[in-house]
Amino acid sequence: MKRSIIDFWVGIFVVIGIICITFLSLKVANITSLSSNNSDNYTIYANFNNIGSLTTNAPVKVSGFTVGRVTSIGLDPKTYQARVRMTIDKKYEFTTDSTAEILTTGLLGEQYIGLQSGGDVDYLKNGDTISITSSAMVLEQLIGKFMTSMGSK
Amino acid sequence: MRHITNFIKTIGHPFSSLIIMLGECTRLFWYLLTGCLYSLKRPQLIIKEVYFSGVLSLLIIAVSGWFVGMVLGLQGYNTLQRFGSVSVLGSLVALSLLRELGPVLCAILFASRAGSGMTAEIGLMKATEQLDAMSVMAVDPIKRVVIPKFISGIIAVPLLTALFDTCGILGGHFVGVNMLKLDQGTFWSQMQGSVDLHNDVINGLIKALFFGFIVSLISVYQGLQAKPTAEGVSAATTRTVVHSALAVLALDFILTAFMF
Amino acid sequence: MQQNVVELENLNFSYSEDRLLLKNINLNIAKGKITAIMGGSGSGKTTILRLISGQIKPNQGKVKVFENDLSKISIKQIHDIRKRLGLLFQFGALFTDINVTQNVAFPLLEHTNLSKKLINKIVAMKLEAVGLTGTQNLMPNQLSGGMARRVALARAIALDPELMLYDEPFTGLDPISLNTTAMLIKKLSTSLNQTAILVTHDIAVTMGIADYMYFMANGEIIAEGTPQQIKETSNPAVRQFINGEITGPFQYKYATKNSYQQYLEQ
Repeated sequence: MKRSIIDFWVGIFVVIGIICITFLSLKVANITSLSSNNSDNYTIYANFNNIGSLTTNAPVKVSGFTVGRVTSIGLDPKTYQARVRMTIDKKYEFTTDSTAEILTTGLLGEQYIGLQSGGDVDYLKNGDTISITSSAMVLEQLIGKFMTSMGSK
Repeated sequence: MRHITNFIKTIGHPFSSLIIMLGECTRLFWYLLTGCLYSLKRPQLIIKEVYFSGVLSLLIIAVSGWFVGMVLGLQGYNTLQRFGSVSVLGSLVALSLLRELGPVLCAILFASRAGSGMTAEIGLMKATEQLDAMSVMAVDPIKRVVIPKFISGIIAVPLLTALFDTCGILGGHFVGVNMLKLDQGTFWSQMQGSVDLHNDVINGLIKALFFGFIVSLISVYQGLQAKPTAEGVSAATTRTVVHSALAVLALDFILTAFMF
Repeated sequence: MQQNVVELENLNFSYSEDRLLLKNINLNIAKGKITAIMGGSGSGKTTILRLISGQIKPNQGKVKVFENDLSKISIKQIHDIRKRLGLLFQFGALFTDINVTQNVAFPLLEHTNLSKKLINKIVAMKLEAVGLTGTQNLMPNQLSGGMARRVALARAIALDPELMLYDEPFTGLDPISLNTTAMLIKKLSTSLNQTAILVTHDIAVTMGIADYMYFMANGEIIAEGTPQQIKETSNPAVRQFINGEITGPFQYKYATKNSYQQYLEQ
């Protein structure tokens, strides 16, 4: 076979490969995660009594819009509360009296953190901790409460 | 006493030959590394090999990817339906392809499509004294013949894996959206919500790079190792496919443990 | 004083420990002459060529080519020596994935910086020398065995080597191409003052072109001399070989059992 034909086909092959990689990174992967590595973020913390099945990389949403991600989850050795670390896009700022709660998409979907801004004048800075939190809704506890309230009637 | 030593020999033989094989592979790898510079100076040789290993594998990879994606779509749909969460079908298909199925299946297909070809070609060149003829003409056959094949495998497998993933996701999309009438928007947004560029896409391609490397190394090693007979070459070709599949699956476990 | 291109001194060689393939070989190849190494199958003739081209190393003794001891020089220097010698393989060993022109041009492309035009010219010239003009675009699998070997010869002489090694150049050729090949070897040797080593068991043709002959049996040199001396020798093994007698001192060691008998016993 002629050399130029081989070159042509190998060129096509490489182009197909690059198109596929571009497709995978732009259309399939989450592009916002691109920015999670650069410096246009800041980190805040929140302590929860119960995080349910929250995992790292879960989205942090405001009014259903993703503004950041959970980067790590640890346990505070003193208070025995779960300490969640999240990075938030610098474009969005929240007041110091913001609340964080753990919500679920659908009945059994993945869990995420919902933020709600308050009315304070100061904004959360890098490394600050959200003090007002509400824990994950745990189905067994919910059912348990429902049963006891039924029983007491 | 004789029986005992024979017994130990029989038991130990597979192990000692495995160790010897690993040693020879490492030595060959070192030789390939030191000779890489020569081949990189002559890209024409590599391009020719990429044509044989990559371009000629395009169709089988694309078609297999498409079908694997469709199967994932169907199976995933049936399972997820029980939990009422068919909306995550997109992320199920994408994640299983990008993380595991894409690199692993693609590498095994590559081993059977192109790797066995590399082994057979090198083995036959050895059997017909072509490698000897080359070295007598003061041309190192490893540098001239083996390294371009080796490099072409490393180039081809990640690109083929990207193609496999893409076709698979499109196949899953075809089943989910066109046949089972899921919402297209949910399909893509769920996928985008759970697939991470670094964790899933890039790690998957890094896996593919390692697989390309190990499959190519096994292929050329078996080719050089083949007994110079028709039987020897056919046995070596079989070994290439078997060893590649085993090596890919074992390496997949190790890489997964490190990456995810 | 006569100059030796190749010298083998007290050489021993074996592939496995139990059987010595070459025993105490002393052999000198004079410059510009055709030297034939003769002997029956399995007498270690081809091994000598492999030793001279540096593909294998002797267990004991010295191989000197162009006055370099092959066991003492680096692989790079061995490559430099190999550029000065050509080896014609028994079955040609043409590269099957490229055509005749590319085969003959292979050493030129690898070792010279000549222009494409010039290379094409040289290839045409070499093919003409072996009597195969017009086969340029054929693939090796389209050639007959004899043609393939002549193409391989064209490839081996592409760089005009000072030393040519021929491994069984006459086997499987019809009488006409056999004589053509023999004349070709003679012509190359005289016109280019090329040294040639001929490994063969074809007595009649070799007698006609060789300047000096070595006889080997079971890994040893049993006789040497000019063709005339060999003809007149009284060595019974050589006589047996020349006349092709079945019985005599020269025996095939390995033929203990006919293969079909083994087959029946299975």
